[in-house]
Amino acid sequence: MEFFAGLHFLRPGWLWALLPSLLVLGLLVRANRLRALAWLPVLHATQVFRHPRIGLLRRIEAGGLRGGPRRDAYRRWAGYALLLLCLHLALAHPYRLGKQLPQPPEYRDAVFVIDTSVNMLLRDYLVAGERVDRMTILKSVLTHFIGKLEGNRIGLIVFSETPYTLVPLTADYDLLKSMVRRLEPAVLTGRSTDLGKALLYTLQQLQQNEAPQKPVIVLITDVNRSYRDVDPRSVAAYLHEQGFRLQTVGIGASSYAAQETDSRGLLYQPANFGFLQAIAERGGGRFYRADSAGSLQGAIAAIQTAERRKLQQAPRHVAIPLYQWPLLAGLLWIALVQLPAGRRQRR
Amino acid sequence: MIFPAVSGALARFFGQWTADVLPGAGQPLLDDAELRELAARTQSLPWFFLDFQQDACHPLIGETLSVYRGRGLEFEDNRAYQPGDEPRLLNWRLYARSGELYTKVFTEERRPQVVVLADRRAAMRFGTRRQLKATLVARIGACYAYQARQQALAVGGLILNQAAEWLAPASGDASLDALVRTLAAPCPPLGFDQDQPQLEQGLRLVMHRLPAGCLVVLISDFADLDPQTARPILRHLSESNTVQAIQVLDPVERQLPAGGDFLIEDPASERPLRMDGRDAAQQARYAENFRSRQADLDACFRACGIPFRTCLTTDDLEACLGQPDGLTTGD
Repeated sequence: MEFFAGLHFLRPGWLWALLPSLLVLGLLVRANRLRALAWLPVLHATQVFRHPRIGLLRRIEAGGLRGGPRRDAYRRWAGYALLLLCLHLALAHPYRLGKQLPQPPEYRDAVFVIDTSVNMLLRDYLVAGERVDRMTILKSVLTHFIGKLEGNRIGLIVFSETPYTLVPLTADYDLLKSMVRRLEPAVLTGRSTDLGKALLYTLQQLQQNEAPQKPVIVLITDVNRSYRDVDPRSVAAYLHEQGFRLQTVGIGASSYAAQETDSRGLLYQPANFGFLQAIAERGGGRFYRADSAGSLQGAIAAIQTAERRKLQQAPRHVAIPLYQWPLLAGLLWIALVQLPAGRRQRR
Repeated sequence: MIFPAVSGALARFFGQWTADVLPGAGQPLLDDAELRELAARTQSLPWFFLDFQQDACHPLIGETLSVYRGRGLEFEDNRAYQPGDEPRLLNWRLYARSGELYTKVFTEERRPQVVVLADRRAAMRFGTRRQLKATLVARIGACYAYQARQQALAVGGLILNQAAEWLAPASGDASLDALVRTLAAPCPPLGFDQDQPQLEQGLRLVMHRLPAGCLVVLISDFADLDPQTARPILRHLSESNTVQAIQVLDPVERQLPAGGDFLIEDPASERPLRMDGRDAAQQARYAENFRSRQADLDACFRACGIPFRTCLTTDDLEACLGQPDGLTTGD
């Protein structure tokens, strides 16, 4: 019973089709249009013989097709019915559920909103005693991070004065890496930072996305202060209301202590971490501080862990096909029916 | 409509072509050595199978007494004179004794002719064991011809091939040779659907061409003989002649071969007939049909007073020639 309880059919329509099949079979038997199953056509009869009494043979053959007692017709019908049952069972494609398949990866889509203002040129990171600019750190970490992602789609939005979509949500990691490599600060989008506008643009882009899953937004910036026309905090709050979670990552140092002695004509601006933390809180996320390349990587990993969510999906199982058994039974049945005739032939 | 016609024509063309290239199809059924052996064998047979049941009405004047009254050597009777009688036949001695006119009646002596009606049509060009049916027909016909020659009887024949071939009865080695060669001529297979003379046509031909008083030997399988329509012809033939009927069959005609499926060529349709040798019921039906057919034939011949016997291609020649019971040959 347990075996039958676990039985499923891929195409149960064929089981219903058995009824009309049997009906047609019955009509054919009734019209004497079917020979008994033991008289299946000769597969290898290549030789055709002659017989002088061809007229007599014709009568015999015609008589054999029409005549025959009723019991014989029933037996013929039953033989074919059993064969049809087996064939229909096989066509219905029965299967049993086997091992459960592993769940799909538990990642979400992520949209990185990357600040490419001129501030990214500031060299306030120290790697192996050498000053490294913020952009280099950001690129290397992003590249490494993208390379480690699996089953996750990533989109890149860059902004400074104006935002634009660098890469829409995609799983093409090679493309993503190449685009990240080509990032240059203050080239395409202007020098200064308009964070509120960027967040609004992000929201606009994400609302076009019709996927049921809401991507996590990761804002990576070294913002010190934003324009006053749109308050990023309000936009973050609105994003959160829309069901998004905004994580923020602060890049750069928080004080003037990290300022380079040779400023190369750039005005040093430390990152305003308090401001970023406020945005993260309003956006329903957390603020991570990236003091060095290691901690930035830790921050992004932490976001990834925090945002990990199981996909709501029914458990999937390996289907073990069983159609071969009814098929085999049908073949065996034909063989069995032919067996007595074959024995007679040997004698 | 065109396609079946074209394919049929092609099949007929290639069928004939393949028939020609069949090994042995161009050879005569019986070669010279076999014919010589057959002649010697016929001479040494201890019994006489040219059995004239009605030695009544042989047309030629000869040594054998006939029941014809007429000019002959053998005196039979005196009968009262009737006006118009030949005056030379008046029995003057009896007139002297009795004073009444009597005419002498003689019995004519006549010599019979032997005519062999041999069937060599498509259905006879068939054989599963030992020899073709046509070969056995040739052997039997040749035996009759040799024995007729032995007794200096005129011998002729009607050979049914694709057309009927009439060999007028004549005495002498030439006519004998012609008959025997025609009987033993090469016999390539013919399609069953080809036009060929019916057996009844042959019987009518014999009936019309033969004078009364001959020995007619019918050698065929009589497969296409309808007992109902043929009965008047046979009766007519047997009333004025001595007729013998010899049926030549192959064993598979009597009983379908057992075991396996067979596809059998059906000239009437594209699809061959399928016979199941394992189907006992089908075999029985065939045997039953065949038996009833044989019974009909037998009844028909008996009603016409024609001795009818059946021989198989596997039988010995002596048995086919109607060896009397209790008589055995040397071999």
